[in-house]
Amino acid sequence: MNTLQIVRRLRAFEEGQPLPHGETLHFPIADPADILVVSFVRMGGESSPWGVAWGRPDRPPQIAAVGEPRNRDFVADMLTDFAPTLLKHLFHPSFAHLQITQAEDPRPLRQVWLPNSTHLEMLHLLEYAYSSARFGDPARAELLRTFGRGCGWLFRESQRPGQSTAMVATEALRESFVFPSEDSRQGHLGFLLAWLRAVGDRSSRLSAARHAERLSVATSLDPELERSELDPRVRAFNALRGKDASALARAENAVRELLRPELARRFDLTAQAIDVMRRDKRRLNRGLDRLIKESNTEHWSEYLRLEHRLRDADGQRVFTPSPETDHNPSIAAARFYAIESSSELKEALLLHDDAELLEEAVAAGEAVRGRIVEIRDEGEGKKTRPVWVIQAHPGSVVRFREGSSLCVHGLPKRKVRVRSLLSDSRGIELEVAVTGLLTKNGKDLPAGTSSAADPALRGTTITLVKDFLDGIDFLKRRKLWTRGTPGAWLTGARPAERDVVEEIVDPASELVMGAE
Amino acid sequence: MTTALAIDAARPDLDTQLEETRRSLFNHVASGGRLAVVKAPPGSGKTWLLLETVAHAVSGGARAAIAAQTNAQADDICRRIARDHPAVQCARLASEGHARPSAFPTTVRWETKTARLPLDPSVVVATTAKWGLAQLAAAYDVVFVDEAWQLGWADFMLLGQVSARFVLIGDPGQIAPVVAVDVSRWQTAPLPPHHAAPAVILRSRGQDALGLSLPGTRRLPWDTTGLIQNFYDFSFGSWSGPGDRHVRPRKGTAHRLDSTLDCLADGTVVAATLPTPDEGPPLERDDEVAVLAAEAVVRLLERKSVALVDGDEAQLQPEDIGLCATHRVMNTAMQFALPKDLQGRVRVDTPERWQGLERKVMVVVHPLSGVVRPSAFDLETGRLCVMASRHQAGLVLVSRDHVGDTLDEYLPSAQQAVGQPDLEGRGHAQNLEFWKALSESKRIARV
Repeated sequence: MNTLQIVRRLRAFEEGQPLPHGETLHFPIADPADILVVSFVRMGGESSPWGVAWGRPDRPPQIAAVGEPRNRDFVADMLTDFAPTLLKHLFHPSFAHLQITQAEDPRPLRQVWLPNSTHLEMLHLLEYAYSSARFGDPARAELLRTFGRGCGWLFRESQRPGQSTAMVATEALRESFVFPSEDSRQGHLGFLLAWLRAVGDRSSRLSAARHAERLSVATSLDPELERSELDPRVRAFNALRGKDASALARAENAVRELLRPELARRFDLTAQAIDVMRRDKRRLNRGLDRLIKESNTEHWSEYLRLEHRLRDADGQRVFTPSPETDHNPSIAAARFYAIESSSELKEALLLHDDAELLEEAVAAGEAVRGRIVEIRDEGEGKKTRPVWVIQAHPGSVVRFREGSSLCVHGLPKRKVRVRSLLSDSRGIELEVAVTGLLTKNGKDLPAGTSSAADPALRGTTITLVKDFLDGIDFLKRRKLWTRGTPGAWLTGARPAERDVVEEIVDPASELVMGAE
Repeated sequence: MTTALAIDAARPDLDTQLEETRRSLFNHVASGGRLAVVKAPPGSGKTWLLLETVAHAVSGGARAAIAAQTNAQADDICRRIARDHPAVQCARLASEGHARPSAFPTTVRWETKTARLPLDPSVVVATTAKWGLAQLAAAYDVVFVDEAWQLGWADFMLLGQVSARFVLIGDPGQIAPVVAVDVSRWQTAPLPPHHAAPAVILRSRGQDALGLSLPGTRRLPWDTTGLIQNFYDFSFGSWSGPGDRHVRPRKGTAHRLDSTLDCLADGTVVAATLPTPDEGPPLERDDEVAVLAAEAVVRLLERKSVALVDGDEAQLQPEDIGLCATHRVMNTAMQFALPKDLQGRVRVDTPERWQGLERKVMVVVHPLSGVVRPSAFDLETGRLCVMASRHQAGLVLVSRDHVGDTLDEYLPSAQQAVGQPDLEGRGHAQNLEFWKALSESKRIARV
């Protein structure tokens, strides 16, 4: 937390209410028809769900629950009710009407919203449980495997900065507001919503938030409810198994009746969070168009492409990611680059269209504001090589170093490279060489753009922000997948007859590192 | 008041060991060995060994590539090749945006196009980033990676397009590659893309890598060597012995730091602490500590201190002293606390930027000063190790006085994935050991 963020938190405390964070909204919100809200509950100590609620945020949810969550067949049957809805929502080729066959295919933005991070973790647990499921009826097992892979992709995608598919309500609210409370309490969705929706002064809001906090929103249930009310009903259900079917059904219903309001509350809170965000008057950040495009690309390359291959495999083995980690070094490195690049892209795009984020970046030393005090052109002949000397504003913190690539805020095509960075009692002075947009000509430039060597720029105040090197991660990933290189043994790749670009390999048929 | 650090100062025959290491590496490269990792303590001559091996390989007809981690390091390597190995044909491969530095050796070819690189026996120097994305006409016989512990495994894999054989040399105690994204997915990966490449190699099975280490440090005084030894998983010595290094302030007892600085005459490390305020220490920027650090520099110079380094005794100049803190805001505060005539002469920087540099005396702010609830990041010892290993004759640590108590009261949470090393716990133990060694030797003074 930098100084600016601390000041904002204190201001929220002073005003007794959450304050907007950011001049713009930093993620899109899909239409209600394209949002699937999902919430889970589980038995204490168990990793599989006891019940699940799902549906559109503007309609009552569908709710499913089982009498005994420790029985894998009961849970599997419950999830086969939910699985087709999720898979259709993800445009799975076997479940969706709209067939997507490449990254660029147009599609509506679809999102899965979850109450908080414990529900997101449940997706990971479902991937562990079902992505290799073989038990029971083969058709059910196949559906569960497909479901497990879908959950796994959603979970992995949720870790990618800038994604807009797997949305966690608490994180969305925290990204959009500064709450007057400790971080450790901000994982509770009810707590955050009470701060936002309660009316009255600080104490009324605080009281509402404290009250809301008493009701569990995580996947785990209130231990008292589980111990004193649910446990007897589960025992009754188990005692009737293998006996009277109608009595067993009644016993299962008795369990469901207790779980239903728990699931519904989690679902409703998530729908409320979506409603809060939808009513927010702030405009969407202009960088989101590009981020959605990136999400579509990831959706295709990391999920749908694989599912198409599996559907068309005809008995052949097809690579599927491990729920635990990436065992293949090239896959691990490629995903690492993708995550790094997504993080940089998100940061760079949002910053250019949000003055508040820019101020945060300046306070954190990730951007620097200063006055151009000297301009010279080191070019020879017709070639221009403008160099600027910039005196940073007093008190500036700079986390850049010599060699850092930056760009001018508001003019991202004008790129500079830091040549030297001197700090003394007068402040920080940067000498930068302008490396991009040297002239005043170019596409989509703001009116009044000067050439970088224009002496009139002297005395002007500019802000330099980190530059995003578009396409570098793609180049790196392509290098990783290039076969036949002298050091191919590093990636465990086989020598190939031709170069393969970004092909997902089957680790089972690849050499492991160091073994030839 | 103080005693010498209670450290075993046994001095094995370092020259013989160094020669053995050098010969082993020469033979490994000459015989076509695929992978070698050389662990080097601070100031042990790793770049010297790297260049010796490169020169030997090139004289045997090899085309060698050197991968440095920054442009500044690559330029420096070229200067050293031109100076120490003038017979070796050398080219510097740089991007077009990186201008040829002034006074760059004329004997080193400056190229921005890979197609114009020499194809005969020679060495080409570039950054890892440049090598990783270059389009090469022909593979190199071997790639030498300098400062290899700063290179992540993912980036190392990209060097596979340059050559099939690699020699990695670096300091395992230095700061690990900076990772700014969530890497939990690869916590248990067999080859984690974000981990330092040599660490991955040494930990993995079936690598068949030649593992070597340099036997000692030329930079560090003998007692500092013992102090930082616990940051390393291999033992090393120092070419200096007791009495070979010291800083001796000539006169003066008037200042609050004077008696503390006097201790540098009989041991090369001393810590000065300020009381921690009841309401807790300031976060990140602690102006009182910054002033104390600046005062240490000023008093060393005002008292016309002399530094003895391997037989050469000379009065300290501002350029002989460095200041270091982990946060930039703290470095700025120290910069402002220095008198104007010292600004720009006494280098002030972060540990990341001090890597590879040295001074006769370093004045450093302990990374845990002001940190009362340390995180795993705070306990990672790379920064402390870098800060405590830049000096040749004297190290002055400044800090709030809570550090010992903070470490005593801290319980590592062991949140690492199953089967993974407890880096937080290890960092805590190493930090504690470091502070304890200073405390037991009575080299911590409250001012």
